[in-house]
Amino acid sequence: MKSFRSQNYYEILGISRYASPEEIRHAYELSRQTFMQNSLATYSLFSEEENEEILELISQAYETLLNADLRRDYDYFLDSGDQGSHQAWVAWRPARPTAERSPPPSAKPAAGEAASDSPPAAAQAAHASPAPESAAVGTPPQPKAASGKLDLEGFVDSVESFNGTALRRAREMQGMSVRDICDQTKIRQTYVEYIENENFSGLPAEVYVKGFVKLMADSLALPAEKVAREYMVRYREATRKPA
Amino acid sequence: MPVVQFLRDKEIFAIGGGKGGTGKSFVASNLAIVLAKSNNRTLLIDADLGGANLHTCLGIPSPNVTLSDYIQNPAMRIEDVVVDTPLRNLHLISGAQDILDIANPKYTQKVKLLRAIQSLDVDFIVLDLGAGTNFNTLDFFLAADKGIMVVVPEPTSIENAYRFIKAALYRKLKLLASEPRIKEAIDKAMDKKNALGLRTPAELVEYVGQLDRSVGERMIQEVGRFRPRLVLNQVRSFGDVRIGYLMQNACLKYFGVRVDFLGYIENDDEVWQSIRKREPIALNGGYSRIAQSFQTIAQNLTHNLQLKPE
Repeated sequence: MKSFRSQNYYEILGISRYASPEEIRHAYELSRQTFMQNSLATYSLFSEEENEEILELISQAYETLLNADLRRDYDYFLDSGDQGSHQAWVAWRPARPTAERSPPPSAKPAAGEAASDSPPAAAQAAHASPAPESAAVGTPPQPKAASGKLDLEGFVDSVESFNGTALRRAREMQGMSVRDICDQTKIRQTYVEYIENENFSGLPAEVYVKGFVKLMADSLALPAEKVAREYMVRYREATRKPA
Repeated sequence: MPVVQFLRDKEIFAIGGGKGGTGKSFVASNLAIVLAKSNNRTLLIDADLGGANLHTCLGIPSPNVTLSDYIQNPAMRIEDVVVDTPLRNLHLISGAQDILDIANPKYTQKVKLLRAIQSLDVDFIVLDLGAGTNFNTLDFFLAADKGIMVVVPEPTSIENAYRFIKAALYRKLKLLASEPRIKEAIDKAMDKKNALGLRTPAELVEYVGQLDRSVGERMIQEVGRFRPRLVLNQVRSFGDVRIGYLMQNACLKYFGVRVDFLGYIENDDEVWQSIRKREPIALNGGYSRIAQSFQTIAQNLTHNLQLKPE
């Protein structure tokens, strides 16, 4: 029985310490929908600002727990006896030697692609990390790549309709190669490339393509149904026989 | 109809949930029928003290003796107002109908009624409560072994359901408080825009904990024990079903309360027709989808289960 501000990432997503990536994704989707703008389930309980704050915590929790390295650090942090609130974690993390790879989780612009040319993003980052030692001594921060990687949700929201390019960008943002996707999904490399390049004529029947796109979206932690739906609209438009 | 093996301890279920017109009596009567058909002696009590109509839901004539007779006449035993129904295992105590002040029984009458109900020799008791969050409704809801909220996937119903949870929870917490300043804090916290700035139960409990640590700790336990059940009625799509899961999640976040999502009932002409004909669905349509939904709900309710996450 804790206010959401003092809950740890597992509590925020309502999952166990042993949750699998699959469970984390599922819990994330459920939590996101619960607190989405105009959500029937919460509009009379939380104010808009609170909803936004919770959504932010939800995506921080998601991004931290889905990243194996960050999750290990975070678990270590919890095991060391801390309650594991977002605030405490942000304050603790930069001081740890293992956490040299990425900036603090709060350094998150509104949308991944707007990182480099949006001044408020820089201000936000500075505000969220009072003393990031690692940033001072380690590698200089790379706002675009790093925050892009952290901001998958912003990316999803910024995509009007998923196509091959959006799938590729989502993959690159997460530092995954085509090979990685193939290993995870067991789809042939050619097909993954064709899907990203929208080389529709080289792809098998529609029903297979839809399945592939779903699998790819899944392995990229994207909302699979939505991605497949939008991609298939594009596919059908392009492959429709001239009247 | 598949035979469902229920636990044999007597249990009292109360059906409430805030808004009127969400199908509380519909759910109560069909749930009671499913329980009775599975070979459990079941008593359905119309505790909607203002607007009793369960006999109509069951399709039986208005009984000669009702709950108001019991409440008004000290010489009467509760057994005297129990009437039979066409279903062997199902019995009914009809609600008060005409006398308006029965809608607001005195506290002592309420306690007497609850004791009497608890003494009855049956397997299950289904209490159909009225709409709203008045103290009678809340007290019966809290006194039951399991409280069920019937909600339709609409903003007004959901909002009222949350108000109902909050009112029930705070009433429960108030029973733990003896100190005036703690009682006062709880009263104030009922109002969203209170001067103490207490918005969620977590904040209230923390505040109380500062005033009196042991009371604060007991309150945390009480919140943990409060476990209302949810039935979603008039569901039209999978998106509507999803609202049940989202409400669960929202309740956990906001109230710190675990809600068990027992099941949902589709919006179907069959329901409307059954109410029109005054023939409960679960009575005859044993294999219809709606009747099966009630099977699921009864299973989950009696076995302390809930719908599996999608």
